[in-house]
Amino acid sequence: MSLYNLMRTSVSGMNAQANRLSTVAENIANSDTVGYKRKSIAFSTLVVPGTKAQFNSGSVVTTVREAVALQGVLTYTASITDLAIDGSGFFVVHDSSGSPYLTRAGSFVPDSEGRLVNAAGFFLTGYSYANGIPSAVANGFEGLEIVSIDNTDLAATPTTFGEFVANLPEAADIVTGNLPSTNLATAEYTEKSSLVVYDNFGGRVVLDIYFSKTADNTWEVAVYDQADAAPDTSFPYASGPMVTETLAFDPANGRLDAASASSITLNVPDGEPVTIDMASMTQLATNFMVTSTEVNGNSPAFIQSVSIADDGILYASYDDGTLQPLYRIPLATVMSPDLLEGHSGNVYTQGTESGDIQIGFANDGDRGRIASGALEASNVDIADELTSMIQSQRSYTANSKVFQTGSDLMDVLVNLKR
Amino acid sequence: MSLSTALNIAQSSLFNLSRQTSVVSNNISNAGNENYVRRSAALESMNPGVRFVSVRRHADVELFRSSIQSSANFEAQNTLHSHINGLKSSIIGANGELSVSSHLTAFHNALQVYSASPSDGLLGEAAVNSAKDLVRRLNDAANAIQSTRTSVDAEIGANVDRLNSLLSDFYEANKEITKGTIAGTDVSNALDRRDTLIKEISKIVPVSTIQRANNDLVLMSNGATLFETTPRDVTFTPQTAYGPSTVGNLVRIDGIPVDAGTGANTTAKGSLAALLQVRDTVTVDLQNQLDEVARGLIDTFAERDPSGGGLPALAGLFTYPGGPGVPAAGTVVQGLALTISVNSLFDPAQGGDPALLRDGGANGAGYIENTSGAASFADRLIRYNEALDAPIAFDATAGIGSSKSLVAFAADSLGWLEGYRASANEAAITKQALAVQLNEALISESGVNLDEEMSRLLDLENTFEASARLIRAVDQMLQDLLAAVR
Repeated sequence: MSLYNLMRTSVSGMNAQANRLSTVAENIANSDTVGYKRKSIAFSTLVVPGTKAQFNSGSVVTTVREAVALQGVLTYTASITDLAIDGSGFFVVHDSSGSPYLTRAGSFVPDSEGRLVNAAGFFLTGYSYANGIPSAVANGFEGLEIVSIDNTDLAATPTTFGEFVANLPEAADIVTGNLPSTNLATAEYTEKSSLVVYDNFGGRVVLDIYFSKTADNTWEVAVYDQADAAPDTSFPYASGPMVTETLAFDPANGRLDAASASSITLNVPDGEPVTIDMASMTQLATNFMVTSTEVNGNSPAFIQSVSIADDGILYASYDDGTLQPLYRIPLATVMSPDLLEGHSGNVYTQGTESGDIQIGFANDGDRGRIASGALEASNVDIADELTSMIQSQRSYTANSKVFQTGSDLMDVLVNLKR
Repeated sequence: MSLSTALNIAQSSLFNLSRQTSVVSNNISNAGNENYVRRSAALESMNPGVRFVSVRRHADVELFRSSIQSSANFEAQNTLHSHINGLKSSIIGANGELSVSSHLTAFHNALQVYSASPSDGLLGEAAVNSAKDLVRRLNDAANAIQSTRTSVDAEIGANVDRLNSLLSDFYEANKEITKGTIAGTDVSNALDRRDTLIKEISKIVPVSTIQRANNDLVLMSNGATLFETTPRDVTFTPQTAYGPSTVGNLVRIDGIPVDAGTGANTTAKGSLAALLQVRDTVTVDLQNQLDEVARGLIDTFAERDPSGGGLPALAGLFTYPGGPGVPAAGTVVQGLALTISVNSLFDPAQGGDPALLRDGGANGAGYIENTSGAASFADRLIRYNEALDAPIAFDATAGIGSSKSLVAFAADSLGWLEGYRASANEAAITKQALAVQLNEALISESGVNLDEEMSRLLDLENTFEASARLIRAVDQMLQDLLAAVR
């Protein structure tokens, strides 16, 4: 029986090496495929029972291994929507029928509808900011939608908050005439500044802010809508002050007194109530000097470009210079990435042994960060593949020699009878 | 590390090198551009390999701030100086030959000669002609002042227009910068352009800046907002023509009037405040001085009752449209220099008689002093001569004292303008030196140094060669491996 065994064993060896050569062929073919993970063959023995006196040669069985967890080199590109993961996470993508898959192939480009689609035709998904700051659903694909950047979208945000920091001159004369709050043509003020805020439609409203010293360490703030101003002299405005407030300064240090008002709140016409924080105002012995002004909100604007931060938040920058988050791109992980089930297009689904898919955000745990403008090259090394190819070739030849020897011996055996 | 990784790293190195070289070549091509700020390419090392991160711009914010301040000071001083120079050449002339003072002296001399031989009618005629010269000079100088004010006013209008257009350019540049900063693109060119605009704006009005998020800038000028998200309006209505009593309109930035500078070494920063100073202070003072000279002449040569009786003093040789009454003493009458004239009764060219100067009586028989008609009567002429040298009251608002002789006042007026011009000139030289020095410091700090760029280029060349050699080595190794496969 042993001669037949010997021939069968060498055939299994040849099959195994042919298998290995197949993975080498695929690895080399995909050595430049973005997000491709190299495959390899693991061998194990199959033993045929024998006795102490007689050895029955067994055979070799092969198992395909895929090095999914092995990070590929990041190569940098000029496209912002090229994404790579520096860590062990996966992008969650949808195919055209909406089934979810995991992938690390991040060469996304926007299609005609603004959806980000990769080279294999899978759409990137993320959590939308449309209903506030999103949170990840840990164990399912619920809430994920296809990331879509609609360049024709016009957006405006009304101002709700502002900050105004200035120094009021301590040595200024006390205003003895009519204060700006009276809105008379003869109104006198000590200092004036102005600030742009946005209404509900994104229209710009310029606020004239008057500061008038009414007594030592006491200043009156009056705010008017510049659109109502009289030509040249400003006063009188067509309508009264939007808000008036009194700031009291602490004579000990020139800062706002603890008991003083520290902000003003006014209603922008056709807009939201705006609170302007003045807590950092000072009254020191120098000139009137505005040191900081900030307001939120923006005027109507188209999306100019998008950028993706390394925590996966996709920001749209509008052509008026403001930035809004649109989506947050999650990263999925499994316990054993190497045992995920692979499909065409470098995508994976949960395998029987891989463990459950868990979704979280970049920088959480070992998911890693998202690199924008980069791609993960395949983790195939040509030199490695070529050497294993030579090895397989030699092993295959050796196996075939064993087969030939068995065959020759059978020949001898058959020729014993003439 | 595998061979493929080595290849990838060498490739990204070549990619980075090409971008670094483009930054260096951009620097070199802008070596002579004083508004250009040197850039350098920043790299970040990654595992594995190197990543090109951003272009850094080596701007020196503090030096830039001092530089624009000093150039605003110089611009103001220079504007003031050139206008004072213009006024000087039209009112005084290069060597004082056009000055009211020299004409007054000539008239004084002619009067003295006449008083020595009062019987000589020709000398009387010469004295009156000299008076006519003096009056013409006063009229011309007053006209020159008002036309200067008109042209300065037009210049203010042009400056305001330019400021508004610079601010709208600033809006565009600022928008591009904030947008680019958010998107993470290289905004160095827009930053250069915005800095150039700040330089231009600070030549017109002083500028201070507040930096906000995303490289957004707020521009303030002496507490008035010039630019905050949007440009603020700078408004001004020019006057089409100026008379002595015309008051120029205010320039308002965001509703706040711009203050004029003061002093010959002016406190003005930026050309606008200096122009306002010329229009509202210097020329007005000068006009007041001329008006006071004119009033002094009318007053000194007025005919008074020779008998000491109750007849009122009336305008004599010099008169004006408000005559024959004499203007109130010690108070400036605006525009008098423009309207003063020689009484036609004295002017032989208009059929008048110069002898009235000797005898009096232009305002009627009651004012005749030489009642006997003696041809050698010189008392009146001698008194006039003395009066020209005797102190009289002047309006202090003219700025050169309140009690001095008419001749001295005219000479002081000349000296005032000369002195103003000299100290404006001196201050201009000092401020120019500072501005030039700071600008050169700024250029050497943030400008391009060709030597540095060339050595950087050599470095890049070496690195490029090394990377290329690495690729060749890996290629050779792979070829050896392929040769092993038969």
